[in-house]
Parts: sequence; C-alpha cells; structure tokens
Amino acid sequence: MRHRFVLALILLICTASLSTANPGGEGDSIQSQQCGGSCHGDAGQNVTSAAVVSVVAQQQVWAGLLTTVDVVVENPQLSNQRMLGVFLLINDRGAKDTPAHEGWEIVADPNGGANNYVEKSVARSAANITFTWTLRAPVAGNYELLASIHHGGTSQPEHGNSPTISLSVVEPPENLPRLSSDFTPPSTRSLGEETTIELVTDDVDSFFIEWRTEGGAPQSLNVSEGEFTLPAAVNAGKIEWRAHLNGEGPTQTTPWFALISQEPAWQVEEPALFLQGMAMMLLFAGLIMLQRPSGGSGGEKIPIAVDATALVEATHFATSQLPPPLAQAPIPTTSQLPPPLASAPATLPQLIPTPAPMPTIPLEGIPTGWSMEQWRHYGQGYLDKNKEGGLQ
Amino acid sequence: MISASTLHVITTELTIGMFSLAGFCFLMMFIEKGPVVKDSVAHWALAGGLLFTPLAIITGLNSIQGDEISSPLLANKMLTSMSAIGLSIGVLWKRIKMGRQEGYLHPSLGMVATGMILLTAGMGGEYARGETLIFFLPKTMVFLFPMWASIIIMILGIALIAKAIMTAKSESPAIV
Repeated sequence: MRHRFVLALILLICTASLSTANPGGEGDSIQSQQCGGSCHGDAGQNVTSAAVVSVVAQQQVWAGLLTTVDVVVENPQLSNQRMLGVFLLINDRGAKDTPAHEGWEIVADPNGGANNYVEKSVARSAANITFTWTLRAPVAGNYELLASIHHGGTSQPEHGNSPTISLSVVEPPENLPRLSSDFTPPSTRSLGEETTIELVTDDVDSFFIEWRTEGGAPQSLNVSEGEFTLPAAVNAGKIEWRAHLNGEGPTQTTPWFALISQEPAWQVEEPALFLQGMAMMLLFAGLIMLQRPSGGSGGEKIPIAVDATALVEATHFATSQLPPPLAQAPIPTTSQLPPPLASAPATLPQLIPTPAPMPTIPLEGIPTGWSMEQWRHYGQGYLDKNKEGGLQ
Repeated sequence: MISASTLHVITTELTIGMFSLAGFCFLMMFIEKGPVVKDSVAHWALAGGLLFTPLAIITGLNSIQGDEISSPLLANKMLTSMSAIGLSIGVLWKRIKMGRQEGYLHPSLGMVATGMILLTAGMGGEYARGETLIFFLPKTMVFLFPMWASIIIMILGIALIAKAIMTAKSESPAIV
C-alpha cells in the first residue's frame, strides 16, 4: 500500500514536470515583461524566438492626442497551440515597463481591450501578424517603445524583443484641427450591429471619414451633423476607420482606428442562476440531514437518534453478564436502597456512552506511548496479534 | 490593498487545500484504510473548507471582469460550488448529530462534496488559463431551471432541513 502510494506520488510529480508553461495562455492584461519568463515557469528555460519583431509608429506625435502603434511579428515558429503573446513596453528592464509608467494611455489594444499584453491564436497560414494599439500620447518629451513576444516552441518556450524605437511627443499648435481630448473611439461591437459614431473635435471646420476592411481599399463615408455610421459586420473580425480634419490650422489625418466585431457575449439570467444555486444548496443539505444512519455507531459518540434496543445490542456486554431479570431478582424495598446524594443535581435521564471493556493488561504493561484510552480500544487487537506472532 | 482577484487566489487555495485533505480522508474511510484520526481530520478539514468557500465565491464574483457572469464556466462554477456547500453542510450535520458514521454512504457523500469543489476549481483554471484535465465534461452547458422550479426546490430544501432539525430535537436525549 505504502509503495503504491509513493509510486503514485512520483508519477504525479513526473506528470507535472512535462509541462511547465501555460499552453492556454495567461489572458490579456497589464503585464510587465517579467511575465515573459514567469509565464513559462522559469525565465531561464526560454530560448530566443526566430521571429522578427518590429514596432511601427509615427516619429512625431501630438501630446494628449491619439496615435496608433503597430507591432509586426514576422515568421514566428509557434507551437501546436498557435498562441502568440505580445507585450507593448517602454523599456526592456523587466519591471516598471508598461506604457502607463510614462503616461501613455492605452485606448484600445489589438483585441479591443485596454491592455499592454495581448494574446492571439494565429492561423497556420499567417506568416506576418500585426498587432495595433491605439494610444493617447503623454506630455511633450522624448519617449521609447518596444515590443516583446513569447510563445511555445518545438521543445522550449521562446521569447523575443523588437528593437527600441524613439518617439518625439510635441505640443500641438493651438489651432490644430484635432479630435477632442474627451473623445475615445469605440473598439468593439457585436456582429450584425451598425455603429454610429459622433466625432467630437476641436478647431475643426469640416471632416470626412474613410473606412476599410482588413487589407481592403479605403472607402468614404457620409457625415451628417458630425455623425457617421459604419456598416454592420457579418463575420467576426475588424474594420478600421480614420478622419481627415480640416480647419484653420494644417489639415490632419487621424491614425486608423480599429473596430473589432465579436460574437455576442454569453449571457445568463443572473437572479435565476443565484436562486438555483441557493436552491441546490438547500436541497442537498436537507436530503443528507434527513437521512437516517446507515450503519451502527462506531462508539466514539452515541447517536442521539437511536432506540434503546439498538443501544443494548450495540454494547459489548454479553447477555449473560447482565443482571438477572427483574422477575427472578428480589425487589429491593426503599429502606434497602442507598441514601440519595444530597448534592447531586436533579437531571433528566440521558444516554451515556458505554465504554468498551478494558482488555487485560499484560505483565510487561501497555505498549510504550499508548494511553489507557488507546489500550481500551486497541488493546485486544494487540494481545491477539502478539498471541499469534509471539512477543517480539 | 489587495485586489479581489488576488484575494480570490488566497481564499481558493485555502478552500481547495482543505477540501483536498477532507477528500483524501473520506477516501481512506471508504476503503477502510489508514489511521483512526481520518474521520476527525476529514470532518474538520471539511468544516475549514466550508468556512472559506463563501469567501472564495464572493471574491471570485468580484474579480470577474465586466461585473457580469459572461461565461458558462462561471455559471457552472457557481452551481457546483453551491451544491458542494449543501452537501458539506449535510455531511457535517450528520457527523455532529449522529456520531461516527460507518458504511460506504457517508464517505461517499463526503467525496462527492469534495469532488464538486475540485471540479469547481478545475473550471476556474480553465476559465483563467484555458487549460483543463477534465476536458471530457460538458462544462459549457448550463442547466438553468426556470425561476419557479428553483423556488419549489428551495422550499423543498427548507422543508427537508426543518424536518431534519425537528426530528433531531424530538429524538434528543431528554425525551429518550
């Protein structure tokens, strides 16, 4: 038994060491590059990815305005899970390296969230994959950005960094036609829904909109009273749109903003779910609580719900050890009874646990380390065992 | 401050650890092996796990992104954990009120309770990491009763519990 247990334990430990990574991914989140190692259990296990990673962005960005940053991953050799994780970072130190640490605001990530780390399942046919982030630039100054990727490999997890690029964030001219700092473009929508966007702008006299599907040619959209409507999507995927802004200042073109169409999220009637959870809890508790004991008492505690006959049958005393029946024994008179205990409190009759008979203690005494309680319960077994095998 | 998701990890580990210990001891009871203390350990560990389960559920619900139950895995987690709580309460009640239980039924019920909690944890792992060893179970299907059915079941459960409490009182030593 003990050997089998140890063998099972060893097998479990060996099974755990077969996979130290998280092949299902970690999920999109705000992550420092440190995760690139820790997600795979041990950063020391990583090998350098063969993929070529690059970051593409405008070299000059207006402070406080929106801009997009593309991370292009070329020719990644992915594992069978086809999962690729990409970080957008400000340095390669491994900590305090998210864009937010230098004031960048992530308005939309490639999956429609607002995270600097995203994961995507990549099709086998895809040689190059582009991840696009929409960011709101921080205050004027010089900044750096880089991307880092990690993914499963043929035998070991792989990790790679892009070269670091420099960006210059400058204050926009006062009369620059621009999107309002309050405007945040929508990043996701459900399938089959048209999307109407009201563009909020500053110093803009007029604008027009272009949109495109992934890899498609740009098409113009009608603008009415500052609003435009993007057509509904029939398949999951993304479309992109941008605005050309005209005003007193130099004409501006916004970056391409991605709008991701997703399957409608799974929904459940939450009150019904909570009610069902409570109902199942009460039902299961009630069913077991009402159940009568299937076996007898083990002697540790006498069950409350047991009749007297069962209790007598459960005792270890033989019938012959019991006092003679009342009919044969002389009935004591009141004067023959012992005097009552004056100090004893009046109590109602109670069922008292019947102790198991005490086995005879051998001459050498009870085994070392045993208590009398243990001897009461297990002493007979000890005596029987030693009788068979002889005293050791 | 600790975020709900971090607190959820802490409470979950406490819950799962205790339920795992309880489940192992119930297994020992079922196969009638191991030391005598397995009975006490099983029930104390079950009680400990039960103590932390509501905390794990509450922190789990608070750590869901978007404040909505947006996955069938989460809905099934809710149902299995609540069922496990009910089973655990029943098993503990029986042990406290009726003493040490012999036979296979009691440890089996204990194992079902602990198994449901482990199943809940497994679904949590699948939700968070997309990995699971219980891929063969239909976890993306949610059997949701209509409200009226849940209300009937709830009334039935309350009636059963009330009956069990009254029976225990009527069979109290004072009356016997």
